[in-house]
Amino acid sequence: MERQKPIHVLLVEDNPDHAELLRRLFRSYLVSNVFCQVEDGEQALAYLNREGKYADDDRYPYPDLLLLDLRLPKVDGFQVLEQVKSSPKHRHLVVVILTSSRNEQDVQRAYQLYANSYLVKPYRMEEFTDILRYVGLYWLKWNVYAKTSS
Amino acid sequence: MAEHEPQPPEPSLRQQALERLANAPQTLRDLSRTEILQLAHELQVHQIELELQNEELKSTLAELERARSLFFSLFNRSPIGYVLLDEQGIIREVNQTFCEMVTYRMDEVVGKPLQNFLHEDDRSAFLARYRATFRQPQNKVFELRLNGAEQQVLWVRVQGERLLLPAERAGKDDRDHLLLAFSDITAQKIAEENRRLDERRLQSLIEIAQYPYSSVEELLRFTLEKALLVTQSEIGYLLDYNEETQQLRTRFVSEGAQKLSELDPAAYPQTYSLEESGLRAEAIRQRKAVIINDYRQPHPNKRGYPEGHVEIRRFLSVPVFEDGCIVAVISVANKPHDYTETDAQQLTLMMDTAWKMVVRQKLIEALQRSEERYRNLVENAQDFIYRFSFVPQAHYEYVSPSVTTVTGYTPEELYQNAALGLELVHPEDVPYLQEMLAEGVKEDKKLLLRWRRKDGRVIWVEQQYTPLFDSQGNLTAFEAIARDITDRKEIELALQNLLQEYETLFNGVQDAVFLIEVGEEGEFRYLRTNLSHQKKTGFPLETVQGKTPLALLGEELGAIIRGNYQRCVDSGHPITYEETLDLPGGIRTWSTTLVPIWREGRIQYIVGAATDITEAKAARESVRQSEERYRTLFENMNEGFALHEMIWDEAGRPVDYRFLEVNPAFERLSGLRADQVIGRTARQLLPDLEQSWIERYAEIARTGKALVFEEYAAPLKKWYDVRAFSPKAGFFAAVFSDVTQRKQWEKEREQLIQDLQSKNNELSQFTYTVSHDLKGPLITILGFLGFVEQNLEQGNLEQAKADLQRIRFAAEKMQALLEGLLELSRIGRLINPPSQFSFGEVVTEAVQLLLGNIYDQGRTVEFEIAPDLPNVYGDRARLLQVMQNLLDNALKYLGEQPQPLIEIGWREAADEYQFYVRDNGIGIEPAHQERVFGLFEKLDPRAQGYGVGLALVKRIIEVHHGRIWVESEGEGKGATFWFTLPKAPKA
Repeated sequence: MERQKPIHVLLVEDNPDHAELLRRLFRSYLVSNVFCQVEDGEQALAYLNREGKYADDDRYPYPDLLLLDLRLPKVDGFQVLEQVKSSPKHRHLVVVILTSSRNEQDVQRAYQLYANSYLVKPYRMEEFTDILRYVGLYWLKWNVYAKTSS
Repeated sequence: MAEHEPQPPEPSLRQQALERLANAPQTLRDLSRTEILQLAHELQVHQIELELQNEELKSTLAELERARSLFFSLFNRSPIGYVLLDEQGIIREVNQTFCEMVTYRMDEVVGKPLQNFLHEDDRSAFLARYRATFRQPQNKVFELRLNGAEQQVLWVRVQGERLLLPAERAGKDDRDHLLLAFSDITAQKIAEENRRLDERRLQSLIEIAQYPYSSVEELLRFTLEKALLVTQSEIGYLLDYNEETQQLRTRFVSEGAQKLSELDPAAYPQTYSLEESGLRAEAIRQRKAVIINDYRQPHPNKRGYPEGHVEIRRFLSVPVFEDGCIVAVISVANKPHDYTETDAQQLTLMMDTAWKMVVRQKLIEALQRSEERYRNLVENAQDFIYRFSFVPQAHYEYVSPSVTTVTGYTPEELYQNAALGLELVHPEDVPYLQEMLAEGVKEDKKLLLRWRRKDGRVIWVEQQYTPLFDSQGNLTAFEAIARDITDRKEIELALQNLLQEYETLFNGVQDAVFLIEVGEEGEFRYLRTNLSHQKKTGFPLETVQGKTPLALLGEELGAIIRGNYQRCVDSGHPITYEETLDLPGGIRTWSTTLVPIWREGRIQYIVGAATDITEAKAARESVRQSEERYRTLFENMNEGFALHEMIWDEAGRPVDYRFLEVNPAFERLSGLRADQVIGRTARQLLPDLEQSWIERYAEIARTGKALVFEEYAAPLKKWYDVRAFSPKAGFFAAVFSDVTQRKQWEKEREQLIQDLQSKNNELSQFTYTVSHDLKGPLITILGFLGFVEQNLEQGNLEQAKADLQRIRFAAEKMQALLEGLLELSRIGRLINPPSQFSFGEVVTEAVQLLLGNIYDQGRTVEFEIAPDLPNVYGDRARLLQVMQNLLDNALKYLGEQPQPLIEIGWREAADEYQFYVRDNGIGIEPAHQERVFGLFEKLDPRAQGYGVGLALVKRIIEVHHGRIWVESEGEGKGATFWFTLPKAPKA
């Protein structure tokens, strides 16, 4: 089912280089139309809750996909994930963990907190490209969602 | 990275760049020559930059390798054995320590199932639990045995942790692993085991000595039971042995072995000869304890055991001696490990103790029987026997109890009143008696008189008088047998009875009784001996009868015996002496009494009665020896011992207790001398003693229930292991040992384990952080290298330049992280010798080092330093580093504060100094305060630095046994970093 409205990704990533890397990959492969990035968990929650400057719906639209790193300053990725998945307002949001950690405990905990997917940042460019392309296609194009009132 | 092209990227890039240039001439055609030259120059510069970046990358990788080998050697040198197992329990990786534990080379261990290295008995239990442990290793600790060097068993405590390791090659799945940590606890196990065993041995001896047995059988069963317990044996049995007949008889077997004897009585005879007995009789043949720890090995005297017999693996057999003869054999078998000499000694001691008690019991029983018989005989006698003496004055010397039957008077009444002798006589018969006395009694005479009994009844009494004279021929006494002949028939019957009774008495008494005729020429001839004499001397009556001592016993012994008889005759009185004689009946010790019998004015006979005191003497000796043995034990045991008597008030409430006996160990352990303690009460010695203690001991003294506990004596600063029991009602004894050292070790061990665990946690947290944070720059480097390639393909050189810049920064960051990491890892190990120094000087030095930076930034910062900072003890260089980092941190987060102020101060606590560095900068929200000390943690991703400084500070403070924390009311409220240093240096 094709989506008609613009597709929007919110990236939560504290490493500016990685953010740039992802931004470029998304852009090159035209995965999404709008791409926003915040640097820590606190900002991510403020963004989703439309607090402060994020109240501006045009500049900061509510995302279709949340790409979330785990190790973040202030509020870490797990806390963001927990808040999102325990809030009736946000729990439908697709949250894909994108991190450099392969630690089993991290994986377990992420799924216990209802992460939709867990991906590890690859070293190879080609792999990175593939991952982002398929993430975009899978979650934003192919996957069929139930209609929600929110 | 392994997937990269094998050749170095630099020439390939160059190649590609050249190709690109060659294939795109149309773009260049539009450029001016100057522009082309410029572009070429630009390209050359990039080329060189790229080469430099690559160099940096290589050295970074080398650093990574160094760090890896550092962790590898930490892993191998740890005192804990580590084993990495896959789901099937196959060893995938192992450290050197574990290999040393099982004494195999690392390549012999890796790839093998772990159970191969476990003790046989633990394998199945381990396998049964492995799945569950693998799935959920948290909180599972178990103790196992490893097969160590030279067949030694190594006790280990095992704890597991689940690890998810990256696959060995990319593309393969990640593998789940279990990391098991093995700590060697063998020494502790052995010490515990030995202590338990010693206690059990002592307890068993005491129990046997105090066992309230009602029969010999019961006592011996109890002893066998204890022997099994003390030697940790499964089965055992007791054999009786007769050295003369060389026959063995199974007295009984322990419960475990009992069933077997019922299997086939023919195959398991109850009685058998020494000759046909196998190992069970080996202790008899060798006349000492026999230990066989390898029963399966052939042995010249092994006969095997019948079908269905329990399998014997190890065997200990001890002979029991009585008077130098083996009388029994006790054997135990199947201890879980080897029997030792200690087991043999212990078993000997226990059996000796028990057997001494058996002998004593037998003796007591025999004595009781003989006494009873004798008493019955005398008391039932119908005649009244007495001896009336005239020296120094007239009195009854002996009156048999039957006087009461005949006269109604008690012997006591006669003893007290000699005049009763005449008063008894019927008044009408007094003249007759007086007449006879006037004539003078010269010889034995029968006398018939009427007596008046106490109750007034008159009886006819026939008396047989025997006058006794001194050497001058004066009458000194007479003996008489008085018989009530009122009823003739009765008298006849009584006479018959009397004869029979004398005969019974003569032969029934345990004493060896003999009658000797003294000839006119002074020679002695044996006339009669009783049964006991014949049995005990080994001389039948016919051998003895009519013989002189010399003829019977030979010149030497005969002369000695004759001398004794002569002494009796010479003195004219009964004599008693002890003698030890070697006769056909064996060597025996006798207590012999010789009584001269006067006939016709001379000693015609001697009656001898010899009591066999061989056993009694031996028993006395054995009791003395056993007492001595216990005394030695008591004096030399390591445990303190004290015996107390409970003191109760009128209402029966326990109020105090008194020390009755203490041993030297008590003095040593308590520091109190015996003479200060014995006879005094607990309240006198310990006025602060709590009533609860008295009640606890009273409970023991009342119920006899033993109590075991550990107690800390604060004044002595010692821990005692105490076992209190009651040897008899109203008393209690306490055996205690100083376990301060053990307690200390336990505490140290706990601390060590805790330290190791926290080190372990720290290490895994550290590894996790390191791998995560080092990956970041690598992802950046490799990702942007991809972009650079694309940029070059597209000829977008500006972008390529910018991206290369990112790569450079990422590589620099990686370098900085690695340096920080190395710095951090050094702190735990390389520490300068600690010293006492002024902390104020250190603070001043740190501030001065920072002033330059502050000036460069064009800022003004005010410092307020407490003037009275104390001297501290530690590594000065490291603590300078702490202050530098804390100040650096404060400066970094001053924010937009228009009047920046940094305060350094302190306060004093019980045993530590607490220092602080306070700023009025941006502050930290309470939720994040703990994270600031984490490695590579940064609250603000754009702030300078790499999150190493505060982690370093925390590490240094912890190495100094201090704590560190931060206080801040929140953003914009400034922050105070607190840390502590102990006043006294810690070990």
